[in-house]
Amino acid sequence: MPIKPLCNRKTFCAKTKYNPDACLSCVNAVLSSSASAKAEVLMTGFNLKFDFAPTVKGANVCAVDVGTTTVTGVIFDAQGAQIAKTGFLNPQKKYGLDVIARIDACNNGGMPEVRGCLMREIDKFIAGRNVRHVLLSGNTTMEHIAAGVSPYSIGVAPYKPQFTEMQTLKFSDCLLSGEGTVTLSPNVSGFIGGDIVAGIVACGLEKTDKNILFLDMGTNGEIVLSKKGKLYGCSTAAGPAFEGGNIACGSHAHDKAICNAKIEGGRIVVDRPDGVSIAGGAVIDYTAALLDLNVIDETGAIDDCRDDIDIFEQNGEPAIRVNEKVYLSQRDLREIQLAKSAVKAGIMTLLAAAEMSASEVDEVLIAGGFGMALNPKSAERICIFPPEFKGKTRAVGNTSLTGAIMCVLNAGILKHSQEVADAVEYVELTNNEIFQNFYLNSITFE
Amino acid sequence: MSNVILDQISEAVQKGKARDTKELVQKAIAEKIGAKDILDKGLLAAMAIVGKKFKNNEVFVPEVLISARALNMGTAELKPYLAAQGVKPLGKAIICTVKGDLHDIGKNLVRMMLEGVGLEVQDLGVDVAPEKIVEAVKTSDAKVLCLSALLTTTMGAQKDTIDALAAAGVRDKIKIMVGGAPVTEEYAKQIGADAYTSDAASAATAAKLFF
Ligand code: B12
Repeated sequence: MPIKPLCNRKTFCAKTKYNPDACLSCVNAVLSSSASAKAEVLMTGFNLKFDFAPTVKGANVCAVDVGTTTVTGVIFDAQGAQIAKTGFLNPQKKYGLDVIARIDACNNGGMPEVRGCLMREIDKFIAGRNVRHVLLSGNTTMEHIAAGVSPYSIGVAPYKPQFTEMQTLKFSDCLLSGEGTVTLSPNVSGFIGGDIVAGIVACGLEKTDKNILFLDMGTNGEIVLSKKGKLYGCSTAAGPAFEGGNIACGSHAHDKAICNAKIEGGRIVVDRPDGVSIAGGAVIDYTAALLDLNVIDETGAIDDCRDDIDIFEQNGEPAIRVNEKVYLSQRDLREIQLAKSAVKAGIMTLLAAAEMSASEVDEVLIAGGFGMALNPKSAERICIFPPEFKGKTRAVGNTSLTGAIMCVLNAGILKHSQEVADAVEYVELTNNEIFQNFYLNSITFE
Repeated sequence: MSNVILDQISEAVQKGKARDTKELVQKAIAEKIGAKDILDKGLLAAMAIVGKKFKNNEVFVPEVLISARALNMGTAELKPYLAAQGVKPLGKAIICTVKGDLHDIGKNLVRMMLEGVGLEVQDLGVDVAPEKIVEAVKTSDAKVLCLSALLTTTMGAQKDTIDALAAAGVRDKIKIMVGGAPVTEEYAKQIGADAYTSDAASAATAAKLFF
């Protein structure tokens, strides 16, 4: 009995009325298990079938994706039926938006609280639900914090974590009440975490006979390239611009934000003309449109004054008016340039490491909420990807949770995830001349 | 006449035309224009314009990099003449990215802008430990030290460095400037730095005031 996905909005919150809670849980984890003990998982971009062989028998299991920004979780009963799910903002947000800020908060004696506020929420979710196994999939920093291990070393060169292997802990080790086991998804390095390993498993990157590029374009910008199953990974540190961070009028996608833009009849139109802010996806759309209208040139400079575009001065710099409240400044465009060239250069460096050309890539999978907010055409126009990726991109949703679900529902897959983590060849971008060259050459819009 | 060539040099540097810059400098030398004039009114004048535009975000990192490359071509050509004519550099600065941090694009831009106001710059590289910086300050006649940090977790190393200089008794020998995306004016004050600026062009302007 496959159940229909709960939400499959391609344009992610833009057209439909935005409901943050719905969006957070927009992960469509739906499982049906039949007498033949097959699990079927329907998620954005996936319809997975595998043997139902959960990690514990006779009790419930839980899969949680601990993102830096959002946390999502699902609980299954002993028969494999989904009995609960949750999606909430990571309460650690008050300690800063990116992992480095969280590490900094932990360094300054804040560890108990940074850890506690997160684990308490997870505990609330599983409380009274007879859960005996929690699989937690997060980036390396999140997993350190969950385990109560200081993430200090991840924040300073050479950015080495305290552990990369899969961790098996007791509930009490992770501040959870009751009896049970917590497994932390295995990490590859300080900035390629268990969330990415789970994503690899979900997408089957380790066993494909194709060349697939997998991207998680959050603030860390992890990229994995599968060359017919041989895995290469890096982390590009794009920064928060794609999520609306560091943008003067930017925000995440919410119900009063401009969420997309396009050219219609020679003019730029946005989905919410009275929006109070502009979301990351729309910033990319808008930048692409401005390039098409020659309002900005290929170096990123605001160039031309068209009659229908209002360019005004803001803090000594030109800015482009989007509506009464929202504008895009020259500095915002520079932020986008820094972020997009980091992603592009990361991709090119991985391709170089695998001795491949961009045209040999068969598929490009974009994970996370941003994948759904991103209009591939706009991404192409601002050159986030090499032009050879045209028509090959696909949003795959929350692959960290998908992978985590697979792991709790099939103990063999969980075991296999460690092999996957070990198989990833980590490509260091720091002090990497190839990256540096690509980076500086990718900053423009050419 | 001479003005035209100097303007052309400035133009070439602004546009990042390295080969043109070199040839124009040679031409100016052949026309017996003073090396200091070629430097100040041609090469450095150009960098002042580029710096101002960069500060206003009118031009961006790639434009500054190619202009800096043209500047270097020009100054390399000019160097023997500057020496022969007894023109001394304005002074010397030391720059590096602090311990634990390997980001260097911002640091390199600051170095280029410092060179763009005529300073000689000793670049210690990235991930440089306080002890190494102390050693460099002790053995150098530099008047300014620039410390770059791009990570919230490595800003603390700017303070550690200042403390190490104080402990070694050389804190007063040098003016310390700090910068990098997470660094603020307030933080700079708090750790006892002498100056902070948010961009490379302003960094050069501020550094110049110490000479
Ligand atoms: C490029 C980049 C990288 C490259 C570095 C390449 C290199 N050789 O430098 C790579 C991919 C290797 C990298 C790696 C990492 N990065 Co990084 N990186 C960036 C990125 C995209 C741009 C930084 C940059 O070059 N800016 C352009 C320059 C010109 O600006 P700037 O450095 O700020 O310098 C200007 C001013 O600050 C000032 N200035 C600079 N220094 C000084 C010094 C003085 C004295 C003065 C007065 C002024 C001054 O002048 C400059 C010009 O105006 C930013 C995100 C972003 N969009 O900004 C993240 C970012 C800085 N990285 C970050 C992180 C976390 C990392 C990693 C630790 C982990 C990772 N993979 O995500 C690793 C660590 C390795 C390392 N190198 O240290 C975070 C830091 C977060 C935080 N809260 O501290 C950022 C903000 C991204 C993010 N939000 O996640 N990164």
